[in-house]
Amino acid sequence: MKRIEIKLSQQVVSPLLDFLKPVVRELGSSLALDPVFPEGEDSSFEETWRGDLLASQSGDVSSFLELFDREFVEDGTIRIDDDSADFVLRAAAAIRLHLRARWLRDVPGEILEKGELAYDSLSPDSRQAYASYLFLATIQEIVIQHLEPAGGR
Amino acid sequence: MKMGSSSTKTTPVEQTDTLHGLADVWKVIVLNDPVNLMSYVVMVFRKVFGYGEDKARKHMLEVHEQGRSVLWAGPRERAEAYAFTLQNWQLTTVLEKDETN
Repeated sequence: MKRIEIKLSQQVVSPLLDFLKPVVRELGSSLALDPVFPEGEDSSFEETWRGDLLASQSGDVSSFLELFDREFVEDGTIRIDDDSADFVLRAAAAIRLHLRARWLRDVPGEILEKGELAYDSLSPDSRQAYASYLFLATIQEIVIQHLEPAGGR
Repeated sequence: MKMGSSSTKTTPVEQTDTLHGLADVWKVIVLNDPVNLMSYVVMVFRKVFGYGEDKARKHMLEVHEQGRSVLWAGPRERAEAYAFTLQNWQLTTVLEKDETN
């Protein structure tokens, strides 16, 4: 089993985690993406679909936060292996979508994709959101690059 | 006899409807979003559909440049299963009936 250890600066990451914890709690009760259904589906089908997505998302983001529990507090390291790679990637995607929807919604998509945000012009909360957004993207890149969760390149 | 002949007339109509239902083709379409990383989208396509790197990358670029890509087409039940899985990976996914089929 492959496993990676990512050494993080607690000084940098801890404030981001303080910002992210309530965001993650929100994702325990609301979906990051609202699913679109084809016409003709009844409401109970849609309710079940949403419920299953929410249960999965909630599990992903809770497990993701647990990466930053005891070991991270002790030595600033998070450890991700083949088994945890999927939930880490999905949770990071859900949180990034939520950060965008809540704090970065006024930023045009093209600017966001190119990373050309005028950081200084953002409000303090939006700065925290954008820093968290970039941090989560970095975690995703590392996992994809080193654990190759799709099964090899 | 009347009931029998009525039944004979009705049954083929029901069968025809069922056959139409089975023949419907549904497209699984992923829409562009400015949040998910290109490498992430490629990885999800490879993981969910078993595509090779090149095919997954081609679909990712279609999503990125044209705003959408049809990832799969077939019976509704399987299309729904794929759509659910892609939504679970936080990709914006819609199902559309293939009206040309």
